Amino acid sequence: MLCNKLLKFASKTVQTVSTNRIAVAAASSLNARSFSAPISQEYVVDNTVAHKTFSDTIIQTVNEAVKNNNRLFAVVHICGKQFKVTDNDLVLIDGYWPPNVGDRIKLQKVLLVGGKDFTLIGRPVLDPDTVQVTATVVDKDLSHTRTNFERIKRKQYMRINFIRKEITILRINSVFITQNIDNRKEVQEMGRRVM
Amino acid sequence: MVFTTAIMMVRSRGPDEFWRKRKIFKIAAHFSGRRRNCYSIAIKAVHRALQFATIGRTVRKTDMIDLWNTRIKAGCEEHGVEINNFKDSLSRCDIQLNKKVLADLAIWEPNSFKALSDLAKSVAIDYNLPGTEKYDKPSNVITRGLLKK
Repeated sequence: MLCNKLLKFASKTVQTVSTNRIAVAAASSLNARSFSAPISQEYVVDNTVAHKTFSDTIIQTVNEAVKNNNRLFAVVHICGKQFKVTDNDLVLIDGYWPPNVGDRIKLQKVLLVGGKDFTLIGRPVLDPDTVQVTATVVDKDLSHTRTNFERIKRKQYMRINFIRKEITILRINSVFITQNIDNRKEVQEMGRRVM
Repeated sequence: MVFTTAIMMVRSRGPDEFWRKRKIFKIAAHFSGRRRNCYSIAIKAVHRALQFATIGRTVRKTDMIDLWNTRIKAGCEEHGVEINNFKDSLSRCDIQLNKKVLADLAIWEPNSFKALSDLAKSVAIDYNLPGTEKYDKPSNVITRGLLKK
């Protein structure tokens, strides 16, 4: 009983406090919203079908543009550097890179593909099944000799080193788009990664 | 050569004078005036030239970055986007083209660069980046808020 009474008392005090606060709040803001006024409702129009048809037409025009183009360019990421390449280009890669002479390679990190009337921009890379950039390793060699010379005046300090880095020359065989651009799998595999 | 003592070996100074000098004269062959013919002057010039060549390899990289920046800036000004907004909005929608490629596109692929700058403009407006008040929203870009994270 005593416990109940205490609780009741406590609830009463809480109520009084809260009503006081509301009164204070109402007094402070003169432009308080009256709850009796009707609330303006926002009608959301269902335009998913319109959006779908619109995007479909765009994709169709791009697909037609892809078919009409015979020569494309691509921006590929090889060995930490980006190159803008087209068919029959030679690309020089500086430094250590494992592939050997005669290897045919499919470059999977394609950041951008463009033609006469269209450009596909990857975020960050394009679908590796859709865009195919193939290349052949033509040559592996050492670069010309670079002289590294340093000297400090009046301090009898002089060092000379000769550096030759590995270089690899790639021939880009072809850049082309194999399928329609909207033709995408639910789950994608790229090397060891599954996205 | 036969060295009778260790001291004699220390005293002998490397290869023959002629060969030692010819190495330097070979590098100085294309210098002008006495810097190519007089050894004492030639060696100073060769040392200077080699130091410049070594430093130049690192300086060239920064120079190229400056050049790419000016080229991208020129391309952006052509399409009415600020370069800061351009870079910012490209990175916001996860387009990771680097400066070299963007400069290449600005010169050789003007249509692709225009597409990129229009995209950057609309993304900048979506995110309400500073300085976007003066941009007109390009009518050819449809994002539907999908590029905004």
